[in-house]
Amino acid sequence: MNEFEDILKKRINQYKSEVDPDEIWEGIQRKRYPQKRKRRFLFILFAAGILLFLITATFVISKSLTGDNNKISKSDSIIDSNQIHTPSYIENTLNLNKKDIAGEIQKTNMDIVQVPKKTSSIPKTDFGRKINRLFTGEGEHLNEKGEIEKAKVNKEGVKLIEHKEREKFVFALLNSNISLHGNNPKLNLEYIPKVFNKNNIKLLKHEIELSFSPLYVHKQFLLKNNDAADFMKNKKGSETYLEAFDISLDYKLPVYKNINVYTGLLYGQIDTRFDFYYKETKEEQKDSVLTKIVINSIVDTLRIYERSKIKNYYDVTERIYNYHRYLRIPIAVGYFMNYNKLNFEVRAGIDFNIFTLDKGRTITPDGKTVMLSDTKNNLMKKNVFGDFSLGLKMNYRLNNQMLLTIGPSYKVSAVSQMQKTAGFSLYYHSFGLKTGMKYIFK
Amino acid sequence: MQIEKIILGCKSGDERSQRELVNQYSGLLFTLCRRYAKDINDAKDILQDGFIEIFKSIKSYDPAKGGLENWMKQIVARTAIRRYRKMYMVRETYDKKVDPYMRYESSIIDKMEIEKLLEIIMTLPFKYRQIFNLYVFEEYSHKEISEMLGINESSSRSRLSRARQMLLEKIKYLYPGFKISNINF
Repeated sequence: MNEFEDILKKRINQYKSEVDPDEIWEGIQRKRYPQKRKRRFLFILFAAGILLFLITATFVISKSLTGDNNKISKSDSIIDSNQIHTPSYIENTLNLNKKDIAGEIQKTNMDIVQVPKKTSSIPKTDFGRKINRLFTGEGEHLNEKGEIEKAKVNKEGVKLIEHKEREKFVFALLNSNISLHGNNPKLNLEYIPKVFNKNNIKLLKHEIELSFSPLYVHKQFLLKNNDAADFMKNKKGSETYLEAFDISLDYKLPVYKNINVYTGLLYGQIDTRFDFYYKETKEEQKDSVLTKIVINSIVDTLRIYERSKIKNYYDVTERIYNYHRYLRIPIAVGYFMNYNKLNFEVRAGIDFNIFTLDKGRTITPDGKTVMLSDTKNNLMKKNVFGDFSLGLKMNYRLNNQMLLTIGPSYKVSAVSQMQKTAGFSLYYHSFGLKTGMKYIFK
Repeated sequence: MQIEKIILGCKSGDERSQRELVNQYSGLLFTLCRRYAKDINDAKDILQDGFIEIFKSIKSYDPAKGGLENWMKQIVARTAIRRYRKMYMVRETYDKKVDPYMRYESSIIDKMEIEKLLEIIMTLPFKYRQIFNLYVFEEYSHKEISEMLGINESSSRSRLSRARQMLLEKIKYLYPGFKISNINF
C-alpha cells in the first residue's frame, strides 16, 4: 500500500456516514423476527374487532335503554319554552358537539394527521440543529418539481439532498367515536397540502380538511341531571339522530405566529372561529422523549345551521333553517409526550358558552319555529353554559404510514338555563372512548 | 451507556444494549457498507445483516484479542463479501500495461471531502471496488482475498491495479492539478 492509499484509508475509516439508527434497528428486527408482522396483523385485526364490538354494543345498549320512548308526539307537554334549547342540545342535533370541536383542537395542535417518518426527528448534532433552523419544519423544503427535499450537511460541509414525495393525502380508515355523550362512526378523508413561500421555505401549514361520513349516528345519554329531569321526563335517557350523509370542509389559515383562523363548511352549517395557542417545548434527546405543554383556546362566534330531522322524538320531518350568534371560549391545557412510537396527551379543558339572544331563530321541541328576539317566547332567561372535560389521547405508530389512536375522556356539563333559580345546574356527566386507525398515503 | 456494559448486555441478548450498539456504530459501519454496496439501500441492507451477524457472534468476542470496532468491521465486511460472492466468479487476465509502482501525490487526499472520496470509490466498477476495499481498507493479502472470493491471486492483483488506475483517472478529472510520478522501488 502506498502513502496515498494509507491516507485514504485513515480518513475514510474514521468517517461516520449519515444514517438513521432507528431505521437500521427496525430493519434488523424485521429480519430477526418476521413473525412479528403476523402478530401485528393479528393485533390490528383484534383492534378492529374490538371496535366493531363497541359500535354494536352501543346500539344494543341504547336500544335497551330507550325502549319505545324515542318519539314524543306534538301534543305532549315536555317543558316550558323558557327551558328549552340548551347549547348541547342544539349542538347535538347538528352533529357538532363539544367533543367534535375538542377533537379539532387536538388535530390542529397535535398534528396527528402527520405521522413522522422516524421516531427521533431531533438532530443529534449542533450542526444538524442549525441546519434545521434554516427551514421551518425540520430541514425540509420544496424544490421546483414539487418534491420535498431534505438538506443535510455532513462534517465536511458537503450538502446532501434527499428527495422524497410530497405528502399529499391522509386517509383515516376508520374513526369511531364511541361515547356516552356522542356516538359517530365516521370515515375521514383529509387532504393536507404543504405551503411554501417563494424561497421554498415551508410556512406554517395551511390545512384543508375534508371529512366525509357515509353514516353518522349521534346518540347522547344523560347519566345524571337535576332540573333537566323534567325536560327529559318522557325519555329513558338518550336521544338518537341518524344522518344518512355528512360531509364537511374545514380550512385553517395561520395568520400570525400562534394564531389560526378556521372557517368551516359542514353539511348545512357554516362555522367561523379563531384559535391561538401557546406551546412550551422541552426536548429530551435521550430515548426520543419529547414533551411539551399546550395551551389553546378557540373563540367561536357564529353558527348558521340547518337542522334536518330524519328520526327524532319530535316526530317532525321538515327542514328548518336556523341560526344564532354566540360567544364560545374553550380553554384547554395539555401535556404532550412523545416516546418512540407512542405519543400521548393528557388534556383538561373548560368551556364557556355565552349566547346572544337578541339574534337568531330556532325550533322548539313541539316543532314551532320561533325567533329568539321574540320576547313573548321568553326563551332562555339565562344563557351561560359551562363544560369541564378531561381527556387522554394516545397514538401508536405501527409503521411510517399507519397510526392507531385511542382516547378515553370524561366530561361534566353545567348549565344556567335549566335552573329555575339562580346558579348552575349539573346537566350531565358522561364518558367517552374514541378509537381509530389512520392510513397516510405518501 | 458505556461500551463495556453494552458488550455485556449484547452477550446476554439484551435488546436495549443491542440497540445502543446500533446507535453508536451505525455511522462508522455504514461507511464501510457504502464502499461495498451497489447503492444506498443495498448498503443499509448489508449493515442490517452485518449487525445480525454481530449479535450472533458477540458471545465469542474477546476484548483482549482486539478492539470492538475492528472486530465489527471484519464481520460486516465479510457479510458484504458473502452477499456478492457470486459476482466475483469471473475470469480475468492480468493486465500487464498497468504500472503497479506509480506514486501519487498524497496531499490531494487531505484536501478532498470525504463524501467526495466515497463517491469516487463507489463509482468504481463493482469487481474492482471490492478488491480495492479488501486490500486497502481491510488489509487482506492477495492470497486471502483470492480464497475469500474464489478467484486466483493474479486476478486479485490485476483488479487492484485496475482499480487504482481508474481511481487516479477520476481524481485527475476532478482535480486537474493532481500529479502522478513514477518511482522505482
